Amino acid sequence: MRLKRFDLTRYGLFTDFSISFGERPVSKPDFHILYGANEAGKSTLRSAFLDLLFGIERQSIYDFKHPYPTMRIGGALEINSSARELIRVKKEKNSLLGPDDQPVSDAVLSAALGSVTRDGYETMFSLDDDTLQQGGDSILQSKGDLGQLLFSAASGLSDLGRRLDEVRAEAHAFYRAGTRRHDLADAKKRLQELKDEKSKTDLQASQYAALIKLEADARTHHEAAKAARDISRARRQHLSRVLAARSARSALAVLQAKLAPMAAIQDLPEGWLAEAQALSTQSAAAESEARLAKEAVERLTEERGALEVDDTILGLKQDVERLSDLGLEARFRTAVADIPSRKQEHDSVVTELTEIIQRLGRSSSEDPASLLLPTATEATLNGLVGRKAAVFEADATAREEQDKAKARLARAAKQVKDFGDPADVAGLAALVKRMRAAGYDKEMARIERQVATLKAELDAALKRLVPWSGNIDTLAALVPPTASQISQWQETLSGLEIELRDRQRSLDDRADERDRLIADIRSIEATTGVLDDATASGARARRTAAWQAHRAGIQDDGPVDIDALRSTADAFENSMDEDDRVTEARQRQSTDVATLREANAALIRVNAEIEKLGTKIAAQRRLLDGEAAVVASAMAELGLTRDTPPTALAGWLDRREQALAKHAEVRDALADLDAARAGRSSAAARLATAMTAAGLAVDEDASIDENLDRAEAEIERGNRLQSDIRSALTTLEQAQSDVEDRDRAAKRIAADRRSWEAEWCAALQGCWLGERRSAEEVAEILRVLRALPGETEKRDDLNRRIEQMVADSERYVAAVVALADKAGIPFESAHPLSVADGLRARLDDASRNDNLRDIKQKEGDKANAELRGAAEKLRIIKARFDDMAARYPSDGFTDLLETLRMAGEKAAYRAQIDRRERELLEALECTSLDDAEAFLEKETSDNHALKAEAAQLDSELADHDEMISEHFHAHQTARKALESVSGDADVARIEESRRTELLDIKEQADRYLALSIGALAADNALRAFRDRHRSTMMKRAGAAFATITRNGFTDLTTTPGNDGELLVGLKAGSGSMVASEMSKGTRFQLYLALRIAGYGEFVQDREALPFFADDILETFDDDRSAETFQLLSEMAHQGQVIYLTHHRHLCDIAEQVCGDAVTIHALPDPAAIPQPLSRKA
Amino acid sequence: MSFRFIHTADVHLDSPLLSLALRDADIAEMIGNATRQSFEKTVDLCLEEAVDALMIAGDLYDGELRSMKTAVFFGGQMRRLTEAGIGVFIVRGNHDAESVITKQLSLPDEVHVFSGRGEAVSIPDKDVAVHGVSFGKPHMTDSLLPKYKPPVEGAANIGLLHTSLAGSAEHDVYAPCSLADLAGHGFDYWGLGHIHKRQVHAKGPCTVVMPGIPQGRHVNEAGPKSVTLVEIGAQGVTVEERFTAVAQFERVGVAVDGVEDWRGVVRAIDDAVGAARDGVRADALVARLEVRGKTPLAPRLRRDRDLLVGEALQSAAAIGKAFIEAVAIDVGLPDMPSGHDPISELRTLIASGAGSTDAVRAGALDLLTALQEQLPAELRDEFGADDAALRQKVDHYLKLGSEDVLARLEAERADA
Repeated sequence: MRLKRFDLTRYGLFTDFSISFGERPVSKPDFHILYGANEAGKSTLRSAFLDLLFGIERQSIYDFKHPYPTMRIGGALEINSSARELIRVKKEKNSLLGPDDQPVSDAVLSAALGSVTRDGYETMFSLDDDTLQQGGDSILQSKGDLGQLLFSAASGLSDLGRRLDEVRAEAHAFYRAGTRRHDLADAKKRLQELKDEKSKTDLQASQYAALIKLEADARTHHEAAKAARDISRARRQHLSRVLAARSARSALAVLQAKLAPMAAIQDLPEGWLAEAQALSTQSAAAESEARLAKEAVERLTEERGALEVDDTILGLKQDVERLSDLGLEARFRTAVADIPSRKQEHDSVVTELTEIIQRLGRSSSEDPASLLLPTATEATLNGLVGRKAAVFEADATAREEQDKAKARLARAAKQVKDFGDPADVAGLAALVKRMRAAGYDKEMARIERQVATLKAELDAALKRLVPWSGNIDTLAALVPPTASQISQWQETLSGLEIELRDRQRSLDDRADERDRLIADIRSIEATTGVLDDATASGARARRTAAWQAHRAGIQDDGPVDIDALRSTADAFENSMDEDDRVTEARQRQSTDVATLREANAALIRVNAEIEKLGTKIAAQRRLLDGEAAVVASAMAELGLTRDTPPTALAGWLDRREQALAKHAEVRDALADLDAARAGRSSAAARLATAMTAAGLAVDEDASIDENLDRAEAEIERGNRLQSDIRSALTTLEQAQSDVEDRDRAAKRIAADRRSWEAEWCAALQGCWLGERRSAEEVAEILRVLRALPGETEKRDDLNRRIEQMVADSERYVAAVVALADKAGIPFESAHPLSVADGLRARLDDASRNDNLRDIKQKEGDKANAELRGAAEKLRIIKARFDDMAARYPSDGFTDLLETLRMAGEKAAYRAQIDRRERELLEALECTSLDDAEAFLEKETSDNHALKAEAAQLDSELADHDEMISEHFHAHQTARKALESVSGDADVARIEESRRTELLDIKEQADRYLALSIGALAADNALRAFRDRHRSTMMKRAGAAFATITRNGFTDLTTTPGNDGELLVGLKAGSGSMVASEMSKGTRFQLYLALRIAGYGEFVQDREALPFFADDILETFDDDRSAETFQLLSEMAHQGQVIYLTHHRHLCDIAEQVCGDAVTIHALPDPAAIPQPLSRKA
Repeated sequence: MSFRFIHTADVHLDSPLLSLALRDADIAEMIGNATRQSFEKTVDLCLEEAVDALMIAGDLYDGELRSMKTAVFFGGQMRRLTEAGIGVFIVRGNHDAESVITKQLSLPDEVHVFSGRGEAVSIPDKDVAVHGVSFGKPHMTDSLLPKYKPPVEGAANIGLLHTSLAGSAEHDVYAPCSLADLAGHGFDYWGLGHIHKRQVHAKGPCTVVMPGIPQGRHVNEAGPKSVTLVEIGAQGVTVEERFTAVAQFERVGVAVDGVEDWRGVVRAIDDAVGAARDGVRADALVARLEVRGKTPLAPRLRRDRDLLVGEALQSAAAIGKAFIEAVAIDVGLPDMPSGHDPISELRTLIASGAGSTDAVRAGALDLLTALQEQLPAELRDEFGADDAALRQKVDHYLKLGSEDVLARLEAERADA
């Protein structure tokens, strides 16, 4: 890539600036030096180029003149041998434009830039002091492979090793030798789990076969066990049969022996024995019954015959019983007891009646009934007597109450009259209320306090105005300067002061510079002993003189004085030596001489400046003093000290304003106070008037509040009086109404009394009592009369009862007499009751005996019936007995029963024999006894042996059962296991998962191997790549370094250090130096050498990029600069090299070294371009 | 009279699918154990079509299969058929010649397994004779044809035979015979088995069918898979293909030539997977994507293969009933910038042997053998069973790995 023309259209301080580098030179280097003064924009230019290639930086600092949206750079570039016009503007996207301002892809540039980034470019090919040093330091300080660093630096590719490590790390996730935790281990674990699960779940054919065999074996065992048991069981059953048969056979023999003697006995019909026994028992019982019945019949007949019965009285039974039944007897008894007392009672009642009649004042012969009053009359009289007291009492009470009410009315009227006419206080009360609300006294006090406070504040404000002093009026009268006047003073004074200070500082600087120059001159003179021109010309003159003296001694034709010649020759030699020394020294120190000259010239210039400054400062100070005096007099006029600064005046004026404001407040407060006072006195007058009107004395000396207190007390008293009068009037009203009520009541009650009196007379006139009887009398008569009907009735009742009793007694006696007669009992004078009792006793005896006779009769009948029953039973029993005895002749039941028992025994034996025989046949399963016998004959062992065998078999059978049970379960289990084999797909699926896992492992292993082996290969290739580049680079760098150091160092090499390789410079002759120990200048040279070598390496394989360097030769001396220019010039054969400098002498050196191989371009004078204000690139 | 039957072979019951797609548990649930699912579909088909018989021409099980669960499952399926009155005829092939599991399993009487001697079974009501000879051992190098009885006169003759046919010399031969020999035997229909790819041959009056595997098990058994529905009637033999696979494997090429952005690649994947899905005759597609072509995205595709796989999975999920088992990436840059790019230089260095010096080879071999030791035993031989194979593998990984690593470096730089 090559820069043909570079346009800084709007960028940094440049506007429409363009620089042309011309066509690529054909046979000479493409080497350009851009010369410009400081601030001409060299750094700007370098940055602009990077911006053109990579885009203007987001936070660009080159917008101080042209803001971001207008920034624009461009140029004519040669890329891959084709020309392109490109423009770069500041935009996020599409910032690269073609000549038609249409966006162009950055790919145009990256074709040439390849992998070089902005940073890479700046570090390698766009150098200034900083980037040169930073890049170099990073090479030296970096730990690790120097080759890699150099390579990285050269190629712009770094981090390849790191990226390869990442690739390896990715591979290692799957597997890494010597570690345990990786994906492969996990996968293997899963595989094993699947395998385990499969073998747990699976059933292999062989296992299935085993299951089948197990089932078959179990079945066989089960069946075999059953067979063995069956044999034992059969033998055991046989033994049981034989033993049972034998036992039956011997029992049979015994039975038959017992039966033999009973052959003659008839066979017993069924039930006979039991029947005979029952009959025997029944016979005995029937006989016993018959005997007892007969005895009873006899006894009862005798007893009945012995009984005597009174039939006479029995015939009168009803009459006797009726005697007491009808109650006649009871009434007789009562009458006998009561009649005397009733008669007595009757007599006393008659006496009572007589007395009553006498008390009524009537004759005792008078019929009591005629004295009785009609019921209505009696009720009327009773009612009147009862009402009388109430009527008369009410009359009296009413009259009394009437009097009392009249008295109360009189009292109330008097009280009302006593109160008189009270004063009206309503008007006064309203005034008092209003004046209380106005609070005149309090308001006065408040305003007085306020006035005092304000006055104090005013005093304080005045005090704050020191040093000014005086009263407030003086203060108000002052005419203060305006604010603009003050600020003008301030500005003028401070402007002058600052100017003065600046000038003074300049003067100080110049003085310092002068001192430094003088010191420099002195030091140069002192340290180098600089030979001045006079010394030099003196030495030269002395040499010439010596030579002339010596030459004069040699005469071409004259004698030669050797000694003299030797002496002059020595003198000439000495003077020539001295001159040489002086010349040499002057030559050697020509720089110092120049410096000294410059210093002297500078000193003169500085001295002149000092003088000029001094004059200016003096004038300035005078100006300042004048202004200050004006201000001071203004201050004095204000009454302030003269030296008061204008800055302080503003504050003082503020305080003055405050004081004046406070004064105004005091004035206002005093006015308020006057107004309050006036208000208060007019209020006091109003109160006095009102109080006088209300009849109150006014205390002229008291305060309003005190007067108000008194007025309020009076108002309260007046109010109370009003209320008392109101209640007295109410009382009067009530009393009047009361009197009226009482009068009406008294009239009504008097009418009641009169009506009673009329009723009373009327009532008395209608009966035997007659008129003129008092109520008390009548009441007493009525009370006595009330006993009369009761007593009369009592008397009549007693008469009736006595008569009844006498009649009853007579009827009873007649009845008793009649009965006694019938019963043949003489009555004579016996008491009727005892006669009656005697009758009843006779009747009782007769009845009892009659009863007994009936009972005996009945019992006798019953005993007869029993006797007949027993005889019948005996007849039947005898008939049956006769039947039996016909078969078994016998004379009585005892005999018969004995015979029957014998027959029964025989039948029992017979039955037993049958049973035994049956058992035997059944046991032996034979049909005949002969067969059985033959069967038993075959078994020769005795019973004992057979029983022993049976016991043995029993035990064996138990074992067999256990075995069978065991085999049965085994068989069932095996059968179930076989049946439970299912055709599910679990195993197939597990196997499939396992195969998938294996596939997965295989794939991952494949990736692992590809990545890890790929990384290995790439690593190795990378090393080869670096080695290849490093070796050429080191060669180039060594050569460049030797050139720049003018063979101070001859070559570069590396040596292993603690942290990797170290770069070592080889010195001329012998010796070496590690890069980090080189002096700063040498290190800079080394850094540049590395860059030059890198550039060479870079352009070898790629299109060259423009190389920028910005005054990087500051630390190089002229010779080294010259060598460097030589190198750069050589480099410029490979690509465009642009060197930026503000050193004219470097341009000269370059021109000397390169001749017309270098093109020097001058940047415009910065003075022609408006200076940037503060932002410096 | 017509006789209808389903002819299948090489069922390889419970033989696992070999596909990384099954890493996804949901997919494994859907298409896992596909051989069994497919066989169930075959039995369903027999029942739906109410055929007279099912013919299985060998390799019902894998030889190494030992699980009785498979046999029990098979027994259950046989009962479904025989309960519906469908007969089953089986010859054993090389894989199940010595199968231990059939010996233990008791099958219904209507299931006829031919012996190794050669039998002819007549189906009385149908005038059909079924001939078959089973493999007695896994390797039968001689033709079994001589063991077959001559055709039964007046009957339709069907022969079941497991054979590699003429085969190729490189592969093991199993009961070899030629089509001509078969046609000459006089049968109406030869139901063959062994070759997993379907072939139908009509030789005059004789129809010879190699039905192919009914369910592909990996990508090398790609394409639609089926059983054959055969009808022998008055009009002769008609043959119909019926698809039974649960999952169909396909290699799906994705051409990315000239594709310049990532979205273009995704679109190409969408298109390719969609097209492949449309052509599938099974319940689901299991695709192996093969991304090929020259594209500036090549380094990124190689480096970001995980992202690409993610895109492919998403694409398949969106299409539905399509699963991606792997994505092979074989892409290159359109024209590799020759010249002086450091990566190019590295590549050149590697090509010229700087990446495969003896030391590198030794290092690579160490890596390979160290890993091999750690791998499950079943996988070890995959990475080289002997020295020659190991060396070959090292070469392979050096080439593949260098390209991959360079692609990564390139891609990173492009990103920078």
